[in-house]
Amino acid sequence: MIISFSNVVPAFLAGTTALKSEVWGADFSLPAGKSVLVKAQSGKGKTTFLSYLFGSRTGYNGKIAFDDKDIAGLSTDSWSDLRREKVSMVIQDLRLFENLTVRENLEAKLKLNGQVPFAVAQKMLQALGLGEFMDRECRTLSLGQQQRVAIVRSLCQPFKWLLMDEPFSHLDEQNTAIAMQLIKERCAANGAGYIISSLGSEHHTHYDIVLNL
Amino acid sequence: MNFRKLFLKHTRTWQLMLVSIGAFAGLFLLWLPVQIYVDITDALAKQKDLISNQYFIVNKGVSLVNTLGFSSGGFTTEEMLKLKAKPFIKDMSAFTPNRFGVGAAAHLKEKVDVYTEIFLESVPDRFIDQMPPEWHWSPRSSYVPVILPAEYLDLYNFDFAPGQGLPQISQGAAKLFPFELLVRDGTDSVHAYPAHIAAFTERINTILVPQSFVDYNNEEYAIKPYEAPSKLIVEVSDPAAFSKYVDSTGIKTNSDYLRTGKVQSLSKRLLLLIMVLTGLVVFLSIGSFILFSNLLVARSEYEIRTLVLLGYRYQQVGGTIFRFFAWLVGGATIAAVLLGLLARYFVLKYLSSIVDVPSLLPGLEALGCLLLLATAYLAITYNSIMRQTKRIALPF
Repeated sequence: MIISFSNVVPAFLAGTTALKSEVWGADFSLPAGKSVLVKAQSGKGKTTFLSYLFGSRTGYNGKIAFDDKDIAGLSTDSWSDLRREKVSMVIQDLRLFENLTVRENLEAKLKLNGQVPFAVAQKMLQALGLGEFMDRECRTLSLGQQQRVAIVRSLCQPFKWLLMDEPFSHLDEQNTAIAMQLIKERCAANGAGYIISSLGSEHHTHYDIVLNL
Repeated sequence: MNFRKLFLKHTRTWQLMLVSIGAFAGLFLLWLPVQIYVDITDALAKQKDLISNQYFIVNKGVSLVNTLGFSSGGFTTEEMLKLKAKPFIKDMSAFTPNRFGVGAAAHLKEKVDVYTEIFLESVPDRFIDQMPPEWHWSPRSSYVPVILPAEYLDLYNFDFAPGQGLPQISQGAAKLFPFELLVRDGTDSVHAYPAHIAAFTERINTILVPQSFVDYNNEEYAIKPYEAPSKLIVEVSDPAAFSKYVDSTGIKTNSDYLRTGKVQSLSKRLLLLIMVLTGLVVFLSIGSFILFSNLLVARSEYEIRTLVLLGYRYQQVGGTIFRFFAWLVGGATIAAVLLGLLARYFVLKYLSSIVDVPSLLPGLEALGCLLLLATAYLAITYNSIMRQTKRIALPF
């Protein structure tokens, strides 16, 4: 699935030139299966950029297309289908169900289309050092642990693009490296690409495309 | 989806109990009065012949004008035709009174003969409730059958006889008692007819003899000219309407019986009032139910949006929430039916002492009402939940 941007500017910035960047107001494409880093300081619109691609925000001028299909006209149902099959995301505020256990949080995703076995999720969780926390309520976990649960959850479904909004902001280097490894493995298995937004760090990874916001 | 953990975490048990009881009360209060209304209507319809077709005796009442002799107080032909034309009058006839002199004489025991002046009347046979088999008379008949009001015998047995030290007489014994009707034409001649009591009636409060007897003697021995009839007997199909008519005109009737008709229409009106109040309760119950579902969805905005972002369709999420309310309404409906049946059983048990009750199976009308209301709950709730979840699912 090719993502293409054509002269996209957030509506609230339209008419100003202040935010002209490699993303806003530019024409570019992100070919299928590529790794992309979106680098910017705080407040430059990293979350906005990813939210447009995830359909959780609208309100921009210009055109964003998936495989030449304009995403502006997609219905809520089409977006649900896309999120279930093609686009997964680690949202910056994680959006876990705090009163549900880690297992229940993962099951909410696993049961949606049943294509990823529970054992795979369990293995990823163990790799990230959370094997023993399966039946703990998420609110009892630290922010870093919650971030790892959110990353694993985003990998528990088929996808063509994985969007991650500062996914490692609360992780140490070791856990970041393990998470990055898992992400690359799942993306390779799915034939998918990923987009990571970051304040600057490249997480010791080589990216096919780097966009400066 | 773990519904309880996801959507009920903001809800207290007592709130849930309250809204369930509200739904139950709405359904229960709608169903039961409708059912009982149908029951009563059925019961009354069954008794239509008994209650509705009542016989009344009407007269014009007595005023000072009658006493002074200026007016006879009789019904003119025009008045009778007008009354007969009313839709609630099924049948009507005038009483024919004797216009000859008449007395009753009896031989009680040796040397004790009694005689009293009496009056006789006749009505067409179809108005007589206790028709004796020998109810006919011709000049060649050996005796005259007489029908007396049962009240007369009661008056004798319970008021007169005890005071006079006389024995009480049963209806059977009274029928065996022979006496004579002595008819006079104003001259010295007296025509004696052997007579006996043929039956007692509860319906007509007068001394009845066969129509042919009155007609024959009026023809032969009248001492008074014909007068407009002062009493009519009417068969009424709708006592309530008749009662209204009687009230609006100057005529009088044996109105004790009419009160049942008035009570009937009053109790129907009272039931109607209860149903209006019930409607209000039902309305409030639906209102609180919808408010509760709205509140639940509003409080679960985070969960709903998160599920949608995970890839759930808003209809799936809304459907899960709706299913919970469907169970709630279903439970409330079943509880309302079961408790209603129980309550109805006791009401019918009480009613059975007054009227014949219909079967214990609930009628389709009331159950239909109940299902309609339950469906209304569900439809309104479904609509409201889906609208809200869709709004939450939309991008910012």
